[in-house]
Formats: sequence, structure tokens, C-alpha cells
Amino acid sequence: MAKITINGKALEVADGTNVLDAAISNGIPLEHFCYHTYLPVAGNCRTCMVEIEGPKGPMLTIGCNTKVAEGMVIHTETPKAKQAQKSALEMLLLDHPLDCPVCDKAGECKLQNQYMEYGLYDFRRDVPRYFKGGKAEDIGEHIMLDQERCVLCTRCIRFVDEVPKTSELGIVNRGHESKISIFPGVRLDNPYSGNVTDVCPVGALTLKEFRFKQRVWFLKKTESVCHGCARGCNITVEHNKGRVYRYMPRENAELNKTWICDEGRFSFDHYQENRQTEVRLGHSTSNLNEGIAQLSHILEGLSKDEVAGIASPFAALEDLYVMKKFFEKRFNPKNLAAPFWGKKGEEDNILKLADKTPNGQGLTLLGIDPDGTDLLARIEKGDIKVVLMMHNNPFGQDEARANQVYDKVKALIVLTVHKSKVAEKGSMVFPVRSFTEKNGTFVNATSRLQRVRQAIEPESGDVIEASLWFAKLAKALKVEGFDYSDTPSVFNAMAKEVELLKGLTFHSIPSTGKVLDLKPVAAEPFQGVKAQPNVSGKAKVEKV
Amino acid sequence: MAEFEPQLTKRFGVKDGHKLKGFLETGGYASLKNLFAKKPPEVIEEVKASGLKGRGGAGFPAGMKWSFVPQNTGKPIYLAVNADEGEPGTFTDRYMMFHDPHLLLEGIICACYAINSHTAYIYVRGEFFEQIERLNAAIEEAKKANYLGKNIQGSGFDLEIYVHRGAGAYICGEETGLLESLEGKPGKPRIKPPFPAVVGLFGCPTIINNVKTLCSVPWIIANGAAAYMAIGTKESTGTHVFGLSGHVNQTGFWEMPFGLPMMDFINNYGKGVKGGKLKAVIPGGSSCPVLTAEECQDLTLSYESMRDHKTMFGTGCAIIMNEHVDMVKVLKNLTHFYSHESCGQCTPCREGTAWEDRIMKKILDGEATTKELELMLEIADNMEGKTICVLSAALAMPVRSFLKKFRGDFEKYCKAASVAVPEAVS
Amino acid sequence: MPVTFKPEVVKEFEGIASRYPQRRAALLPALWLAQREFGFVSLDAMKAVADLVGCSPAQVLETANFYTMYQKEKPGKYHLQVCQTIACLLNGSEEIKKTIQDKLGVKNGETTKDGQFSYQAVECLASCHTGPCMRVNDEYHEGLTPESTAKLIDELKKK
Repeated sequence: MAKITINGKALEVADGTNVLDAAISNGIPLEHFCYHTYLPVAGNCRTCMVEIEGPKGPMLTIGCNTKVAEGMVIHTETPKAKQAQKSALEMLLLDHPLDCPVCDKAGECKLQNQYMEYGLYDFRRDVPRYFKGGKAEDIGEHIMLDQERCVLCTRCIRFVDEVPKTSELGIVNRGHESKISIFPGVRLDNPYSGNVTDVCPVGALTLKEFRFKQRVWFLKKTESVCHGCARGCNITVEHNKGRVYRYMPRENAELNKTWICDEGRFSFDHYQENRQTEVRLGHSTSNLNEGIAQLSHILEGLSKDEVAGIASPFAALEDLYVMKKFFEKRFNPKNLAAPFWGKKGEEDNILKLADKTPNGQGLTLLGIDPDGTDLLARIEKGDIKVVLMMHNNPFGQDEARANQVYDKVKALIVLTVHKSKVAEKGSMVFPVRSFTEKNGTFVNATSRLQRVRQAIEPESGDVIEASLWFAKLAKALKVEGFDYSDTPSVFNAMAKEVELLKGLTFHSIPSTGKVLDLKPVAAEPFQGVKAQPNVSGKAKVEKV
Repeated sequence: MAEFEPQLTKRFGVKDGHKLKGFLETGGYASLKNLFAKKPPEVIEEVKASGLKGRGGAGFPAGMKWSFVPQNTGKPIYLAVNADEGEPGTFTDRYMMFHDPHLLLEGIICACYAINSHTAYIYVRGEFFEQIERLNAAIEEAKKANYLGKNIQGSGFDLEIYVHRGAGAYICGEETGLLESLEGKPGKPRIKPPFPAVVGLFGCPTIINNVKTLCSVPWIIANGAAAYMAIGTKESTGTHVFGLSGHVNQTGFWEMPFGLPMMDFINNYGKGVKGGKLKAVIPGGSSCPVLTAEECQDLTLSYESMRDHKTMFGTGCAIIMNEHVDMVKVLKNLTHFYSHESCGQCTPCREGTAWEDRIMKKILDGEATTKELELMLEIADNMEGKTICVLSAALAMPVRSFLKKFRGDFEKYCKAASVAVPEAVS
Repeated sequence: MPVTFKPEVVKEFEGIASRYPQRRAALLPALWLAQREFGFVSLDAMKAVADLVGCSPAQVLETANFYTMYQKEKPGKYHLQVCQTIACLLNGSEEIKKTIQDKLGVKNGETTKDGQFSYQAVECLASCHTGPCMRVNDEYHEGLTPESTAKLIDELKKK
């Protein structure tokens, strides 16, 4: 630890912290562009200029490349420091196009924000503007490049060099004519390409999927977790008026840092499209209460062993817990399983995992059989009258196989987010909420318990969480102990019963999750990729 | 001028002086005997004591630089020779390498022995094609005669020297820009710390020395630090190859001890100013603050005199300008040069040099007012000291000195200040 | 159109690469080889260099574009590089540039239609005491006057 002083404020920060990080982690604002916590230091924007006291008087230098030392005295607001910060900003803006009205980055642009903080000078470029050329160039499957807006901070280059290690980007030419470029014909198409638009501090690199779609100041941001695979990268769901416009990666130093793969990032549309929006009973649409009433009528007369449940590694812990409890209390929990034979996808040693389900570990935590071969055999034999299927279709696209099983039951009850062939087969189909529409918890492949928060409220009141659907059904069947007001209360009840969750409540779970004492089923992310290079600057002890 | 023994140019004009045979016949590689009899730290001390300063322009004491290399990192130590002579006005390293390549190799052997390096790279600017050919030929000869390779002359010391050809970038003359270029990347200077002596080429401790600095070392090793200090002045020991270009009747280069008065240099060696009276002198490469004719009257060719006159010794090659020179056109030439050569990494230099260049065009077009002159000074202040390397300062210093000392030239181009709007008649 | 290095050139390159502990360091020498073998460093040549050295095409593009001596377009048979920096300026480099532009009808960066001459204004060639100075391919021609420049061009035309 090192005791330092910034602007007269005494702080104690970890050794190896740089001055810039020490300042901004402790609420002292300091302009910066090229610095990024998870990328190697470049020190080229020259905006984080500070004065540091030395034997020959105060020395003007950049903060990001200066490691703290015991007794260091740092000033960020002296006239000299402020002049240096302001002039660097002025130089960055000198030939910058006035694209704000048409630039997606407006509202979250470092140039805009830092001009308001550190600039506020009169424009005085009285010489012809230098046109760097190149507007709206398509350089990758997801990426557009607006050359003129680039401030040459090199964050994008450092990213593609460090994380996917594909090095598609470089700076061509020299001096004032420098510009970012791909090699003609070798496009920016690695599986993590979207991250360059996050690291870009201005609107030079933007996502095609977001281009001109929405102004960021209208977007509401909700903490959540990606459902693209079992990694469970932290995200922010950004939405407005019931529609999700993008996922942004959320910082989790121990999991995804500030990165997310393209597959996960662009999965947001999947959860909005092709939704099952209505309750269908037989061939006619109906409503939730009617559906529950009819179903409970069917189930009333059935014995314990005549009902089977197919759960899912896509379901939240709350859904799985209540479904299991339903079977325990009313039917036979041996007839509950969660087979999932979906295709395994691409895996790499960065973030992506082959298992594309978000809650496989949740099945393990709650002791639900992930195999289900036995159960499916019994269904095929004709032993089961009613199958309650939640969030899942074990047979994927294999219609023939699905028919083999489901044709043998009297009633197939489907709880689904999306329309699907299986849903069409269902005798009764109930729409349930996707993860962006509910509060819930999931456990990822490295045993991290994480929370999703509700971002969107579905239009129809009939679309409820699968957990609350089972609670409703249980109550209709007069089974005791299913009084839950909302899904957080489900979690709290579950935490009292499940050993590894003891002591937790839904709201006490940290926003970056909590690792459970459960055997992980995947390696930690970023194998073979350099670990976070910059030590956190958060002060340990703050003295006034 | 008192007689002195040429050290750097002694083989210039000697037939086959660039070949091993001619080199040996004129006392070449003689220093190695003394060298290998000493321990490396003793060699460093000797060079320190001699007062040898880096000849590339910065003038940093060579022996002190060598002592910065940590010997206990377990990593190989490298020597990089800066033969990227690109400072406008400078043209002497090229003759060193052409006429006496073996002297450079001898100097490299001394330096590498002192810092415990076994691999040296000579980074030669791409335009010096003939020099590269001569260096490669000299290296081949030296290897065959066991002056390079394993167990040099039975000393137990191994050394390989390789030539690395640059490709046209002034910024590769900056130490860390040179290292980046040696590593196969654009020659963009590195942020410091870490410093090259600790983390340099390929992540290993590295020393970068200029050609003439290294060529000066064999004489010191052969004759001792005290003898070297006896030549030149107290702060500027030894000899140097000084150059003259521009408006003199005889341009050229001459080796001599430090301390010659500038006016003697111009009048006796340069045979006087050509085409008119003396107006301005850039004493050591275009990055140095310019001097007026008056300031040159008591100036000597030495580090300390240049410092006292608030300029820099730099490379010791002076550009002379007569009274007919338009200082505005000269400064425009420099703003173009520096903005063209800026690597473009850091904001103040990339934008500042180009901004200065555009303002200079505006001035030359007659579109500027004195406001622009003040703006140029402010931009110079906003560049210098705020960048990764000193290229920004290399433009800031000429801008400031030209505007301060030759303001009249600039004001001739400026439009009158706008006429005040008359008050409304009531 | 893709280009490939001849086996003997690959061998030559491997010899050069062995001088450095990191293969990337041989990128500048590789680009010089490409310029020698293919006449100039085209995008196809850069791809071949990327394969040879083992770095990404964008990294080769970055490096090739940074340095002014790698020609990105086919130069003329005689590539004239005229120094325009301060010392040569003081001794009349502007007249030399004008002589070339007028005689050959080319501006900075252009090549004559018959492919004989290309012209590039460059920065300090370290010939300050013998300026104005020009390189023709790899040869230095110093102490130029407009007349001697015109004469030199005529002689080159005959070759």
C-alpha cells in the first residue's frame, strides 16, 4: 500500500496503481481517453496530465503511466495541469467533425463529456479543416468505421491485439494523416468484434445493429446476465418503451472483465422475436386463469405417477425450485428431469463455452436430473398421461423424435418464451417471461450465482414467470406452501432450504455475483490471455 | 588552430582505409589490447572519466548511460547503434560509416564489452545504401579475421553485429522509436518509464549510442581518459566532426577539438558568408533555437557555450543564413518537416505540428494577423513537455526562437489589425 | 493478384530472421525483399510478407505505410527523390523541383506515362553541405543545378 495525496486529499492505495486510476477510483475526476483498465497503457492522448511534486519542483506528466509511490503529492487542478488538459482536448477536437446530431455515441461520448468538464473554450481553428476522409465504412459484420471521428487513442487496436489476438486493426500513415484501418479484404470479423465499439471513446467505431436505432439518453439500463452460454457474462440490458435495443457488457473483474462475445451481445433480438404472447387451450386462445383452471381440473384426477415434468437449464433457479417443489408435494419428483440435447456450440479459451445454456449448474444445485433418458423412455412407453414442459424442448429441431415421445401422452402442457413446433404440438400453451422480463437467479459454469433484474414488463398480464405459474397451479390444486408474492421471495424461501444458498437473500447477492461452493464445470475465462494489467486504484483507507 | 591528432577522420582519403587491411595498417583495432585487459566496469569508468558526451544531439554523458544497464536481470543485453542520421543540417555520420566502417565496429566492440552485450544492431537509415554495403563488407572481414564472432582475438568475449536497414522516418532517430523499428513495428517512440537501459530491445536492457560517440571510444581506450580530457574544453572534451551548410562559400565538414569560435568556423573554414551579410545561424541541426548574427559573435563550438546562448549544441552541424533569407519561408519549411515526420501517436505533437504548419501557410498567403503569431507561440507551449518524445519540442524551439528574434520578418506578412468599427453617430 | 516469394528468397529471409530473437523484427527486411522482388510493396506483396513473417496483414500494412521508402505503387524505372528540407532549400532545391516538374510533367508522387520516371519530394537526405541533392533509385546525386538536373534526366532517358 502507498500513502499519497491528491489535491490535498490523503489516500492509501495498492502498490502498482497508477495515478490516473488512483484519482478516478476515489472520486477525483481526471480527463482520459486512451487509458482503459483492462488494456495495456498507451499514454498517447496526453489528456490525463497532472503535476507531481519532485525534487526540482512540480513535474507535469501523464497520470496513467505513473505508478504511485509512498509520499507522492499529486495535483490535478493546478493552472498548469488544467492548461495541459484543456489544450490536449482542444487538439483532439481541432479537426473533429461536428457529427453529434448524427452520431450514435452522442450522450455517452468522452469528447462531449470531457469538453463540458475540461474544455469550454472558444473555438479558434482559423485555418482550413483537415478532412481525413472515410465516412460510414463497413469494416466488419457488425462494425462501421467513421474515420474522421477517430481520436487515435488505439484502444481498439490494443483490444484486438490482446483479447481475441486477431490483430485486424492498425494505424496507417503517419502524423496528422494517421488513421485506423483494416487490411483491405481482411475484415474485422473475430468473435469479439463488438467490444471495439465499447472501448472506442467516440463514435468512430459503431455497431450496425445499433446504428441510428435509439438515442442513448432515452435508454434505461438494467443489470442482468447474458444467456448466450453457460459463462453468464454480466450485461446491462438497455431498453426503452418495452423494447431492448442492446446489451452492453457490465464490468465484472473476476468474470468477463468488460468484454462480451458477439454471439451473446447480439442475442438480444432473439428474446424479443417470435414470442408466444397468448395462452392457447386446444385450438383457441384463452387467458391465464382459465388455462390454470382447466389444467388443474385435468390434473386433479391423476395419480402421483401419471404426471411428468421436463424442466430446463434455461430456466431460472426460482422456476426450477418451484417446479421441483410442485412435484415433491403433489406428484412424483422422480418424474422430473431436465434433459437438454441442444447443439453444443463454439468454445474458446477467452469467454465462450460450448454449453449454450445459462443454468446447467442450477440443475446440479437443486438436484434435478439433467439426463432424463429414463424419464423419456417411460413417457414413450405410455406410462405418463400429462407432461408439463417448462422452457425446453429436449429434441431441438428433431421433430420426428419429439413426436415419438409426445404423441404418447394425453396432454402436453408447454410453458414457453418463444413460438415453436413443440409449442404448436402442445394441448395447452402458456407464455412465460424471458429473463429480461423477470427477477431471477442463475448459476454459471464456474459456479457463480448471479442475478438478473426485470427490465421489461410484458404487455399482457397473462405472461408471468414460470415459478409463479407453478405456484398458481399448486394453489389451484389446493397444495399448501406456494404463497409467493414475487420471485425474490421465491429466492429467499429457496435460500432457507438449499444448503449452499444459506444466509443469502435475493437483494443481498452482490451485483457481480457470488461464487458458490459447487464444483465448476468449465475452466476460468481468459486462459492464455494476459490478466488484468492495471491494479485497481480503489483506496483502502480514506482519511480526511 | 593548434595541431591535433585526428581520431575520427584519420582514414578519410586514405586509400582502402575502409578495408580491414588499410584499417589495421593505420592502427585499427589497437584499442582491443587495452580493452580486454580491463574489466568491463573499469571500461565504463574510463569512458565516464573522459567526459565523452553523446554525439547524436542530446549530449548525454556516454559512460553514465552505460552504467545504467542492470547486469543481473538474466536477460541478454543489447547495443543499438543509431545511424539514422536525419536531423536537418546534419551529414557527418554518413562519412564515418563510408570511409571508416571498421572504426565504428571497433567502437561497438568496446561498448559491448563494457556493458556485457553480445549482440549489436546498427540501425542505418534506409537512404544510406552505400554505407550499408560498406558496413556489411567490414563486418564480413572482421568476422573472418576474428575481430567479431566467438572469442574475439582470444579474449573470451563473443560479439555479433548486424546491420538493420531503416525505411525513411526521421522519428526512428529517437531512441525508443529506433527500438520499435528494430522490432519490426512503426517507429513510434515508447512511453517512459520504463527506460531503454532497463527495458529496451525485445524487453531486454539496451543501450543506444550514436555513430560518432562509438567511433570516439577506441581512442579513449587506447590513450586513456586523461589524454582525451586534455583535448577540447573543460565541459566539451575530445574532438568532433563539425559541419557547415547553407550560405557559406565553402560548405563541408572538419574534425577538430571543441572550443573553436563560431565566427572563426564560418570565416576561416567556411570562407565567409556567401551572398550577403550574416543574418542567422542554426547551430546544431534544425531543432536548435536559431541565433542572430550578433549572438554568434562570442559563441564557441562547445556544449557549454551553446547552453549559455540558450540554444543547443545538437549535432554540431551549423546552417548559415545570409541577410536575404526570408525567415518565414524557412520556418514554413521546418513546420512542414516536423509535421510530416511526426509519428502521430500523441495528440499535442500530431495536431500541434500540423496546426503550426497550416498557420504558417496562412501567414505566407498574407491571410494572417499578428494574432496568429501569438497563437503559434501558445501552440508551441502546449506541445513542448507534454508529449511522449521531444519531436514536439524540436518544432516548438524553432517556432519560439524565430518569432522572438525575427519578428519583423513575420510582421511583414501580417495584415493590419481590423479597423475599429466607428461609434454610431448619435 | 497474389504473389509468392521464390524459395531462394525465402531461404534468404530465414537467414535474416535468425539474427533476431523475435521473428517480427525481420518485418522491415522482409518488406525490403518484397520491394526488390516485386518492384514495389503492393497489397498482395504485403499479404505474402504477412505469411512469410507470421504477423497479421494489418500489422504489415501499418508498418509498410509508416515508412516513406516503401513504394505502394509501381515507381518509374528511375525514382527521383529530391530533398526539400532547410539546407537544400537555402541552396536552391525549389528550382530543382521545378526543373523536374516542368521537364517530366509530373507532380510530387506521380510517375511519367511511359513509366520511366517517378518523382517524390523527400526530407533531409544528409547531404546538406552538397545540396541541392537528389537520389535516383539508390544513388546520391549532389550539388545539383537546374542545368545539371536536366542533363542527368536526359542521360537517364537514353539508358
